[in-house]
Amino acid sequence: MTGIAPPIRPPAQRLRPTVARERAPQAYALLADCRLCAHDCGVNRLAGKTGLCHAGTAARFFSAQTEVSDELELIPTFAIALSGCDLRCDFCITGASSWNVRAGGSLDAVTMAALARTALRNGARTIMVLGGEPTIHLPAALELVSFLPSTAKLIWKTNAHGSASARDLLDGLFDVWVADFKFGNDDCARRLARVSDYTRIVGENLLWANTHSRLIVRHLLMPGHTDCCWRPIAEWLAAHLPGVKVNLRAGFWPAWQAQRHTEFRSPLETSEEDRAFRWARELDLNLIA
Amino acid sequence: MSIRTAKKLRKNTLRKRTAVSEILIRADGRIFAHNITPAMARVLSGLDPSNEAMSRRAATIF
Repeated sequence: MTGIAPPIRPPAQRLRPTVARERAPQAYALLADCRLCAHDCGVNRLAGKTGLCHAGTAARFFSAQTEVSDELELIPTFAIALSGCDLRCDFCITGASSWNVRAGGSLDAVTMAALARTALRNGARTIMVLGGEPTIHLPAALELVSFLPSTAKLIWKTNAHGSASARDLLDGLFDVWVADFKFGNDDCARRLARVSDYTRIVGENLLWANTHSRLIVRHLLMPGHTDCCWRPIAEWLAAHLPGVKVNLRAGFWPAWQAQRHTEFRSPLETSEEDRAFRWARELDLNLIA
Repeated sequence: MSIRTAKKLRKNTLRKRTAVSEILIRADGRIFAHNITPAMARVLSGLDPSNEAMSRRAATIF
């Protein structure tokens, strides 16, 4: 596997809304035995059952606005944040909305697409679909894409905990995947986000995304987790995705339920941040801002 | 629901939504922000003109 961005298959931009429109019902049908994320619950969301994410059939959004917080090459982006997530990161900066599928307003694809088109006319360069975690709302996300301009640059911002079936339905629809690699080992993932087999699943998603789209990997440095989380992630990226764009973020904010963990009661030490960036340089990671 | 009513409803829904950014100023003076809008980027850049990354975000034409 090479980390050098491979040539993306012919964009077929004119077809993207059509493809998304065709796939949306397929995604909806998968809710009968939901395995969109790697929790692999298998619940029948169409019958009102819910899995770990608590998502039903309808998607809601808690934010839709033009932002400049993301990677410089993507901004300004019109960011559409869908409510609910399949992970339970105690330090989630938008925890109240990301953990609550009922947060925010009902997502109407036509209305949201109109907002996105206005944002593009006003200078937004991209449209970003995020969460929470958008994968759990794949049918709604695909419907939204079906109404977005075929020429718009679309970003899929994900926790990289999706399943192979979700990836198949997303294939070719988003120009860039921005994927989090949060934890460098499964123990920290289990303790901080209540997720198992994390590193294998994220690795699988990142390798796939790198060959099916442009990929940017994000890691948020967490106080006390530079050695146990960032170091192994950096080494994995250097070994498996050399050259991939990496956004190493140092703005940890003790949000949501972060205080439950003693290491998050203190800010990220400058020495930790310096060490993290030094390792990144030593491993020749392709850091971007 | 008539088309007219639906359009009115949609318009009202859009009006109700306003952009939101959040900032955290720590005791050591460091400022953290997320969901930064272009307007907020300009404010943050004004607070610390030496922050090159924020200056670049603030310079985004919008």
